[in-house]
Amino acid sequence: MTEARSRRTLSSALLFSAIALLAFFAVSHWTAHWKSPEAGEHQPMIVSISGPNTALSSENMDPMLQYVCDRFDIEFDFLPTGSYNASEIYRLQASLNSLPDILMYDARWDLNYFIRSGSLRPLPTSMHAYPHLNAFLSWPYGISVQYDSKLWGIPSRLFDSSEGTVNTCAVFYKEAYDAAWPSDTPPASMEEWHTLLANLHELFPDSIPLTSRDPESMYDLSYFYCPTLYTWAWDEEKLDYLPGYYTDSFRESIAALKPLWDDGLLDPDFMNEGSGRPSGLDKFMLSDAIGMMYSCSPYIWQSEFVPAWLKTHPDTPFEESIQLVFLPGNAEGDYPEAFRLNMDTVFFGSSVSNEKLTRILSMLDWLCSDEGRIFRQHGLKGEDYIQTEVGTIEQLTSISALYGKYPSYSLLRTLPDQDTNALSRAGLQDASISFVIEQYNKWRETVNIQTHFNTSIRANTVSTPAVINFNPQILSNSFRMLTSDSIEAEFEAIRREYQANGIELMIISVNNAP
Amino acid sequence: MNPFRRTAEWNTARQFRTMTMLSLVCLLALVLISSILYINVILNRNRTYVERIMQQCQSNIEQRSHEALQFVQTLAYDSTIAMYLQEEDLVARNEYSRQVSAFLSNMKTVQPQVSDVFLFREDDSPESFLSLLPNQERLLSQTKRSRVPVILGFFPHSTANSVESMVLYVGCGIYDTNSSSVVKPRIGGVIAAISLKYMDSELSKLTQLSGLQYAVFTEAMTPVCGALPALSNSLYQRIASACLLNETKNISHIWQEMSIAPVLGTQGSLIIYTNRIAVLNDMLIVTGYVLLVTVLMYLLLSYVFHLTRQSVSRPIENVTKALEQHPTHDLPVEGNKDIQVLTETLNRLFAKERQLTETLLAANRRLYESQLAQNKLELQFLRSQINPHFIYNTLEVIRSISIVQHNHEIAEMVKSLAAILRYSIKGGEVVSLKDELHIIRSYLSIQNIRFGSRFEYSMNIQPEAENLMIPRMCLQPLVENAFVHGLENKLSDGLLTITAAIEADELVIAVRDNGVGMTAEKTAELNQLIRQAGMDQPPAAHGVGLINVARRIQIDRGNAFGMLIESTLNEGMSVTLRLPIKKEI
Repeated sequence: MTEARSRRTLSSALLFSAIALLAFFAVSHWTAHWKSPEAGEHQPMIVSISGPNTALSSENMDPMLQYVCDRFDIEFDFLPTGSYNASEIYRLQASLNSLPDILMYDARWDLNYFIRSGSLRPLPTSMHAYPHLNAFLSWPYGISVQYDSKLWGIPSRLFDSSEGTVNTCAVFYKEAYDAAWPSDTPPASMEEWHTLLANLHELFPDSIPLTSRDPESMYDLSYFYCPTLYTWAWDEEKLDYLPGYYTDSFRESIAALKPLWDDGLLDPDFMNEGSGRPSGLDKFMLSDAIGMMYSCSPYIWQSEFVPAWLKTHPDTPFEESIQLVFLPGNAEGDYPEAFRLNMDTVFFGSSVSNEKLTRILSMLDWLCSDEGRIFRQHGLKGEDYIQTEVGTIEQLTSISALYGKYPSYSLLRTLPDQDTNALSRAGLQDASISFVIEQYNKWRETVNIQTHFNTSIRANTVSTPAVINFNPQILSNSFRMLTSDSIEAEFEAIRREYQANGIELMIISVNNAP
Repeated sequence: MNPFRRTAEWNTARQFRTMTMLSLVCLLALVLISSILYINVILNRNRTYVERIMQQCQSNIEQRSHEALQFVQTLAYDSTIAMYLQEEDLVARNEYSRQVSAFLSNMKTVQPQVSDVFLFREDDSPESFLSLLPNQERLLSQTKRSRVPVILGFFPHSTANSVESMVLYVGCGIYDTNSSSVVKPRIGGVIAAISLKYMDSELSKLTQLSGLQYAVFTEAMTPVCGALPALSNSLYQRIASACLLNETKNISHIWQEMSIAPVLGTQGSLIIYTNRIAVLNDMLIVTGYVLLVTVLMYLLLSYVFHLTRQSVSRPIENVTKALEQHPTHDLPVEGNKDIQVLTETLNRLFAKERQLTETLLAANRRLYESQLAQNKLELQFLRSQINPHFIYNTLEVIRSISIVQHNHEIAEMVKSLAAILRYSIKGGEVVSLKDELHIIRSYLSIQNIRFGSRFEYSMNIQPEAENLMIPRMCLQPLVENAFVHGLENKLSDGLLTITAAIEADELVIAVRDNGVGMTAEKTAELNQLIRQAGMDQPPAAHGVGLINVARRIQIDRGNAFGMLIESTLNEGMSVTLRLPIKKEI
């Protein structure tokens, strides 16, 4: 009797326990399933990012960028600007203390203005929490962002002075080029270029012989006339470091270009960038222009040229239809050592909070880590590549396809990157881009770097009170000379303006700087 | 079929089982009905919600479109842009270009949804912008048709560094406001690509409720923003038809519901899709749990039913079967405490009943036998009975003749005989002692004539005893017996004495004679027969009258009576009756 009762008690207890357990699971499931409105409204931290970079587009939110955003619980608000008038725009924003959270900008002329206006936020005193970024700061270009014992930004590239040549070339429709330049040897002087373009103009009077991707690229055509335009070089006569734009070579480079302009061989609107009118790329791809000054960067080719070509010439491989022509030498036929001061830097607006800065720096640090670099080069793990046990990477999606698959691929590549060789390595994986890289490298090998300069990186970027508001306006002044009746007179006028803005004092300050 | 009508045919276990099942069915019905009602309420509210969302979405799109129109109007009316498009001098044009570029940058900062801006001159080729391919000519044509800002519709768009995505194009013609002519000449136009990201984000926020999805399609069913789940061909065709006709429509399809409305100013349609299963997901989960709990409760009830059956219904069933088979036998003692107490009590009652039944049966048997004896006596009497009226008339004639002939003894004798005869056939079982003694006197008067002086009699009757009731004709046989067996053979000095007195609660009547008497053996034999008068005994050879008297007294007074014969041979006999007093007058 007692045993039977115990059995019944046990059965009842088990049954009730089952019901209680079920109720518990039901409530647990319900609680887990149900989310409060507050929980559903969690929003990631908004990070505004700006720069004269076409990759900065709100349409570029793709799984790759989303991965980064999710990882660091942020969301980007893109504020693109044109490159030509970026300085004006950012100086205006700086004066209002309204710079974006992240500013990706070559602030070679504006850094001091930003600092003095209090619109930038310095980096933390100790960057040891971000070991990969910290490595940047010890490089020469890291010095350029130091001022008043503070770090004001993170260089995006670790370019050094051994770059050697200008990363620009001209692209022509091969059929037109062949018709206008029957020689097997490409034009190597400004005179030969003049002939080429004049022939094109004659053959195709309704088309622009040469346009440009951007204003700077057009002036690169005569770059070897003034290879120190964007740097400071040692002047043997004055025994000082002088900026290239203050020397006669600046005038000479424009003078070399002026015949082409005067003869209507250059795109009359090549300077009118970002004004809503067709760009040089539009004109070239839609055959309004026969030639175009263009970058040799495989990234730009992959992300910009190839998609545009496929859109307008879907049935024709571009390597069969275009002719790459590289820059001419100077008046003496030489190819002096070229310098391109690149101060592409990531700055932070003064309104960035500590927490936001921490997240941004953590993101940038991760992007510079081994994992981040692999991510930026090879895409999403498992989706675009797999990593073998020995560490080698097997690409599932070709690098060239990544550009089309992930619009943000280009943007991510423009963020700080330690791997200086990543550009060429990644670009070589695409056959069509290899065509460009191979020709570019071949040209670099053939040209004879005959003249070397003693340049100073420090002089390029040294900050003195004298250069706070100084902006040489190289592109504008170049255009002034190009469109003037007398280049000499215009250049003298420009020099006087430089002097009025304190360039002499700046030269003294730079040369006396430690 | 009403199960309760037949409950009289059911046993407890079946009723209990039926009630359990009915409870479960009711519970399930309650859950299901509640769920259906809730589902109905939720779906109705969701429908209202979708209608409001649709209105808000349309309003949002209209607002965005309005902002975009204002934007292009601002650009179209800007004098710098107009001069930029008209300026032929390259230096001046570059200066305007810088201003326009800064202006556009600032405008884009203020209006972040503006993805791209395109400025046209009237002499531009029909294909001058990569991003507008292949729609540039069509867009320009639309722009030229209107002098006010116009929505051009949804189109695919890609910038230099972005993949193709759908945007909203708005456009406006640019006119030379400095012209002196009344109708200002057109100098170009502006088209702005409005990113749908912000509209998409806002629509997404508006349709956050689980189960809701939205999408905007062009009339050619090109997706603009949002997304719909995979749909059946027929459903897709219905949506496509509504989009093509740009009409407002609601489409319901089992678990899916769609509201379609045109997007103002475009040929696009906004579709809000509702997945009813997703909307009801939480409700269905809860219902599932409730049903699961109901099943568990059913199991619990079944278990409780099992326990109750073991302790209540089955014992009752066993008791019922036992009662049906052996109504008076002991019932099985089992089940819970209440049932056990009940069956034990019933068993005790049954035992008592059996005992009483046995007693009653014995009494009935005796009564039956007594009735038989009486019937026999009455039969015997009736057998000897001749027509009483004839006898009475005859006796009256005899008495009359006797009186006429002055034979008074015969007349008196006949009178007494008639009185006896009348008394004997008169109804009623009991009479008073006084009446019985009256008829005894009549009898004795007859015997007195018969025997003459050979005997005398005396009666010593206590007056209080005269009214006591005794069985009819219980003394006459005793007196007759005294004459037949005692005095008849005595030649002289016969004496008959009758006494009646109350002793304690008994009426004691004694009839004594001094006749020949009986031997002791015979006296004992008679007393034995009298004691056995209530038993089923064969009729005795002697003393039949005495035994009959004894039986009749027993019938009337039960066993609590006494009849004792005392006799000595040649000295006489005495019969004493001891009757419990029964006063009924």
